[in-house]
Amino acid sequence: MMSIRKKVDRFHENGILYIDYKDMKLLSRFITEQGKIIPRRISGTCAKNQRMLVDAIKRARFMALLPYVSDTAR
Amino acid sequence: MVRRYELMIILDPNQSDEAIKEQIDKIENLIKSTEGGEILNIDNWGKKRLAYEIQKRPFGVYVVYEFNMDSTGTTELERHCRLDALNLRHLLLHVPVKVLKLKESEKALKSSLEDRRRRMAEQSEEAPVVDLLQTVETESKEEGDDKEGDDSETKVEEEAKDSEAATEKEAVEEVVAESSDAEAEVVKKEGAES
Repeated sequence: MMSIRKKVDRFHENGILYIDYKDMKLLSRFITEQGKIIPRRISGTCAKNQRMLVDAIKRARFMALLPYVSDTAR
Repeated sequence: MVRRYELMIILDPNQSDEAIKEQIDKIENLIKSTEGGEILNIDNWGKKRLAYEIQKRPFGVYVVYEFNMDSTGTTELERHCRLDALNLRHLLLHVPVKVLKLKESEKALKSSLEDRRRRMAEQSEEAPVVDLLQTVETESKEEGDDKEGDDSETKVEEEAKDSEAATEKEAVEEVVAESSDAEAEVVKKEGAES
C-alpha cells in the first residue's frame, strides 16, 4: 500500500542546520522500532544531513539515549 | 588553543544526592582550574532511564557541561572521567566554530520559517471564516424580518456562531501543527515494513 510521495528532507523543511545527538525527540523519528537507522532512500533525507544524522544517532546510542537493539527485537 | 567543548557524563544513581553533587562539582572545578577554563552552562538532566543497561544499572544521572578550555586540558579531563568508577560513561566533544555558527543561524531560520507558516495558515483560513460570517449575517436578517422586536435573541445566536468559528480555527491550527508529527510516524512505519 506504499503510496508514491515526493521525498522531502525534513531537516530542510524544519530549518534544522545542525543535528544534535541530545535531541532525542528528533532522532527517534529516524530509527525503526527495532532501533535501526532509517535509510535515506526511505526517509528522503539529503546525503549531507544523513551523514550528520548517523553521527548523532551513534553518539546517542553510546550514551544510552537510544538503543542499539530495541527491546521489541530481542 | 582555547576551544569550545561539550562533556556529557552518566553517573551512578545508586548513591546519595550529596555524593552526586560532589562529583559534578569536582569536574566543574577541574575544568575551571585548567588553562582558559570557563564554564558556560551545566545542564543536570537528573535520573533518566538508560536505553540499555550499563554495568547492570537500568538508570543513570545525566549531566551536560558546556565550556571553553585550552585543548591541552582534555587529556586530564578524559583521565579523570575514565578513572572515576561511579562515572558510568562520558563523552567529550569538541564543538567546532562552524557548528556554533550553524546553531546561531538555525535560530533565525526557524523563526522565519515559523512566521511564513503562520502567515500561510492565516491566508488559507481567511476564506472560509469570511463565508461563515456572511451566512450568519444573512440568516439573522431573515429572522429579523420574520419576528420583529426579537433583536436580543438574534444577537445571542450571532455570538454563539462566532465562537464556533473561532474554535474551528483553533482546531485547524492544531491539525497543521500535528501533521508534521504524523508524517514522521508514517516514515517510521515504512521503515519497519521494509
